[in-house]
Amino acid sequence: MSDLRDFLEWALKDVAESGDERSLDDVRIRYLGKGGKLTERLKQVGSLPREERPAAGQAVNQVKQQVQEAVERRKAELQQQGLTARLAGEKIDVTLPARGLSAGGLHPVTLTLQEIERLFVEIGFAVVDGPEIEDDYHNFAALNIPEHHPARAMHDTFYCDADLLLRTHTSNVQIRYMNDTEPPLRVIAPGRVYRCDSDMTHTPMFHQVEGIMVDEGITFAHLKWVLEEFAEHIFGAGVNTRFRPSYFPFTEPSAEVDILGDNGWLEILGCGMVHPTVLENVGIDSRKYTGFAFGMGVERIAMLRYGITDIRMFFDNDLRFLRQFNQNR
Amino acid sequence: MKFSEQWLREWVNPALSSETLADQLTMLGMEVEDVVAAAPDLGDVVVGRVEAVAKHPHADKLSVCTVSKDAGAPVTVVTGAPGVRPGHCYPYAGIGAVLPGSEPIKEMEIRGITSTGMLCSAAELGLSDDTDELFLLDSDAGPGAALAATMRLDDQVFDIGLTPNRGDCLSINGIAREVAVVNRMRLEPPAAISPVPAGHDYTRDVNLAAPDGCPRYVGRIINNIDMSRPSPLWLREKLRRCGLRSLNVVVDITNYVMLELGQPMHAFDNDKLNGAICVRYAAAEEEITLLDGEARVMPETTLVIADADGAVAMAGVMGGMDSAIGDGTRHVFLESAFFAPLAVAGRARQFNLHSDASHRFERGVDFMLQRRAMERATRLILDICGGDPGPVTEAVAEQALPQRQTVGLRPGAVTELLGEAIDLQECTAILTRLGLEEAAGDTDSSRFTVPAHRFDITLEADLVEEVARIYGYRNITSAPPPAHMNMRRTGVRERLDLVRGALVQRGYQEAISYSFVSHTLQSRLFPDTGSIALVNAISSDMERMRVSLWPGLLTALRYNLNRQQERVRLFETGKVFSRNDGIRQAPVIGGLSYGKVAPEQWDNPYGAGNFYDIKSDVEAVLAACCGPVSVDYQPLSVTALHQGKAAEIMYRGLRIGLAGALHPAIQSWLEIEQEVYLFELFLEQIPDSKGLNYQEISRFPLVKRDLSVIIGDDVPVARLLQNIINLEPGFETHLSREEESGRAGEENYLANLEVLDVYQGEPVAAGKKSVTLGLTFQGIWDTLVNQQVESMVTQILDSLRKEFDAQLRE
Repeated sequence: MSDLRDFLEWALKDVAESGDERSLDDVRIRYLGKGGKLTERLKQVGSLPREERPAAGQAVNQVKQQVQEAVERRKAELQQQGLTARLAGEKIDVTLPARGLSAGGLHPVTLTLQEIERLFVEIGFAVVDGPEIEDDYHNFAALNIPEHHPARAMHDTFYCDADLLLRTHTSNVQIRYMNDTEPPLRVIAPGRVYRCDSDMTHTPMFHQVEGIMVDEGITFAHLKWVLEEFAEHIFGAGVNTRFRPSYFPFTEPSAEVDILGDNGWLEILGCGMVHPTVLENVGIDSRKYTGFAFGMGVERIAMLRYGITDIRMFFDNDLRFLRQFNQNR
Repeated sequence: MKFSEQWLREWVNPALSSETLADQLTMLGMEVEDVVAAAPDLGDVVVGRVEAVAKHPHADKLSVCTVSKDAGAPVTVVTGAPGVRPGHCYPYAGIGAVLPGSEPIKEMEIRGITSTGMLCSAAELGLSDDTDELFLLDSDAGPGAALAATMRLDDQVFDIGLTPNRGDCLSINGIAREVAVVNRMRLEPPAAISPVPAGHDYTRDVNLAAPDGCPRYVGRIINNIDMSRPSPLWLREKLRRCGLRSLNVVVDITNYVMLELGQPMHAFDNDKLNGAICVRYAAAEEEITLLDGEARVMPETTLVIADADGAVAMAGVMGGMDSAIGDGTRHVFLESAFFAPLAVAGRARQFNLHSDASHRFERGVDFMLQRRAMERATRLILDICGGDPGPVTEAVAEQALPQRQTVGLRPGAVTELLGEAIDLQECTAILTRLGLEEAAGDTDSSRFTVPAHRFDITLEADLVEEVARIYGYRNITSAPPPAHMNMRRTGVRERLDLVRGALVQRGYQEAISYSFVSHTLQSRLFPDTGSIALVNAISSDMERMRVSLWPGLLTALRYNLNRQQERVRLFETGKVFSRNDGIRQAPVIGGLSYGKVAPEQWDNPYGAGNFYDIKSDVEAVLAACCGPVSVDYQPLSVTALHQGKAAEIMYRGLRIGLAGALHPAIQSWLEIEQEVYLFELFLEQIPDSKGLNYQEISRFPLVKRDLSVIIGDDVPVARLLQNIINLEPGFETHLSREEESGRAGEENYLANLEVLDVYQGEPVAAGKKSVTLGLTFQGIWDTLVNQQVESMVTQILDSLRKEFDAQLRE
């Protein structure tokens, strides 16, 4: 039986030496296949004397099993090696940049507007819209600014014809909304406004957000609360805010709101209690209802938030400027 | 308005620092915009008296002056300034002195004569830009005295922004009144004003022919004044610090009274007037040459001061040239009038003029102030340049004078409007200090009579504002408002945010461009759309309201291409404006795409963008707006777009937008290298989102078939697809189980239909194209058998053959 032992050694050696799955398969066929050497040996067992057959058969079967196991092991080994090699060959540079489309972004004025809108919507203000080409009545007269009123000099108005003009503020929406809606009402009206003016701090078009709240018992104290909250949320907690007496024909009392910046107070918006004449103009009983209104320049707030110094940048649409406000730049 | 702090403190002098005073003014509603020193540091400059003046022996334009600069021996100073006279005092800067912005002064030899120090002009002192003459000091100033002390330069100039309602604060008196109120002090005018007795009885009659415009006119003749006297230093300095130039002594005095009391005045050369003064509206085509030297024809709404020969001044705006005072004037006629705000408002602006007088009259001048101002000016003229005053003529149209208003204040009104409990007693105290007088009230409200200088108090709310102002806005405690709660459905703006988000995800950058655009560009794109012109556009680039977002987006594209950007994707939302029967203002969303689909990258699978990329962007916008919606793209021919690459986007027969390539002719006119793709969707036309319905999901396997057909190259593929879709429901599939269950004809078997390829060229015949369709079938109730699928494919082929003469491509 010693040759069987040699035989096992050769077989195991051949298995161990097969470098890939194909040569391993050849080895398997050579020993274990139909005409394989071990199969042959097993056949030869039949020619042995009857009493020797069980022992010889068992011995051959043992070797066969050992060879089979060795082949299986080697096969798993080779598969593992193959996989490892394939993975090594498939290595990529994971530091290369991502590919595909990249997202664009929103305009900084829109980002600021969305933030303003979100803050007011959270405390129950609805967002409404109004016309940009407006008549004299809704832009001026109904807001208690008659012709020749010195306040008109504060608004350098673009005219389309004798009566139609580009709205100088979003306050026209106040009038239109209050005409159509009974109190209680609580709305903001964001949008474009126009004045003939152009320099570092003025563009002939800019954005305002008008806000108005009318109900029974609305007071200046409520106005202060709403705008102080607003300033805290848009400029950060702890911002120093002051209300300074001012004048608008459509509010009484009127105020301007300043925040304390690094170089002193900065005006951020105008506001006041809706003038009784304005309420009467839109058919609201000023004895029963009071309200407050406010209006702010969106670019001004965006400039403060982002540290932009030239308002004209907003409307050049320079991609190098616009991309700076992208979330994923 | 600029004013001198020192001057204010002559009227009311609270024990407050300048900074606190400034804060107080701001919080009273007079925003202090700037506080600057009245003069730069002039510590080295002293008073020098010129004892003698000689011509420089070697230079015609130079003078050699002997100057006393202290108790010691005089020094020699060479100056080029004209008009230097012995006996006059001027600022003297000695050797080593430093003037603002200059090197220390050295001894200098000027054409052979040694000059020890220099005599200074206002510009050299940094006081004004007046470089010509030496700055004249009063003759009684002692040589050697520090200039800063002599001129009282320890002063600051406050610049306050006054709102149009506070015309009453356009004077030292007015500002001092407010400061006194808030500090609970008494106002103490430095000079008592009393009637100046007449020395003769020459007068000029005054007719108020337009009493609504001028209900009060006070006039006076002052004879024999000496116009050669210089305005004293204190007067010139006060004017300078308040931002006015010194002109001549009489004008300086009238300006001084205006600054002090708020009453604009005018001085005519009495010898140049003829007959009675008449205040009337301008006659037709009446012309006047004003002090600025310009002749103007006045509309008949212009209020004028006229004599027998015609208009001599535009009332409340500016005097006429012909009656102006000058060096030769001996007798003046002084005017102190009340012109109604409405008679002056807008007039100055209409003539492109702005004067300190019109500024005040427009806002309202105290209508009881005219006689006081006249007496004040008379006294100053007599004191400074002598003269002999006549009696005061006062013409009044009582019925046209403004009435002092009496305004009621309900006890609860202040608390109701402010939300701060301020008791009536305190309110009354505040209003009384402001000069309102408590009038007889009735049972449920107090009444207050408003002083003549306040034009802005007519309603209860105005009284509340006064209380709030003095009480202090910062002392009002904020409180959250009570609110009625209501829920709202998602609105238009939220929809807009979704749309914006979709485009941002697709690489678009949001732009905001002006709503007014160049007519040249716009009319090239949209020659047939009625656009709205601006009457007073600021430039030709901004002369028309946009009818589309494309002009603005194309302008932005060019801006970026000029800055070496190679891929530009921009979108904008906003209104567009057009005029047809009426004005139309419609919200739209538009986009522009230029260059490659994706940014330049190391492994770029994307090529240059084309129509189908922008179509995909449009569909993303529509999906964000309203979810799945079926729209048609129909070929379109418009001026702005390439007629072979343009579509109108239709929903139920209505145009909801446009998309396509910019017309190549316009593209090259704009000097843009590559194709530009544009879209615009009309937000109001986009349907609302429909409710979504769940569809049963099939458990049975998919069966896929690809089908290539050859059709005429002018057949839109969309029609091909529609034809196939129209075959459903109703494929004859002979499913016995369905027939049994009665569901036959209700089932959709075509689970998906895709266009896999479109090919033209060999071997496909000219004029034809091959379209490869990917068909996916699936049964909902059962597995489809091959026979059923073949039957459906045959039905499709038959239908395409019949409709489009389609051939199966083998």
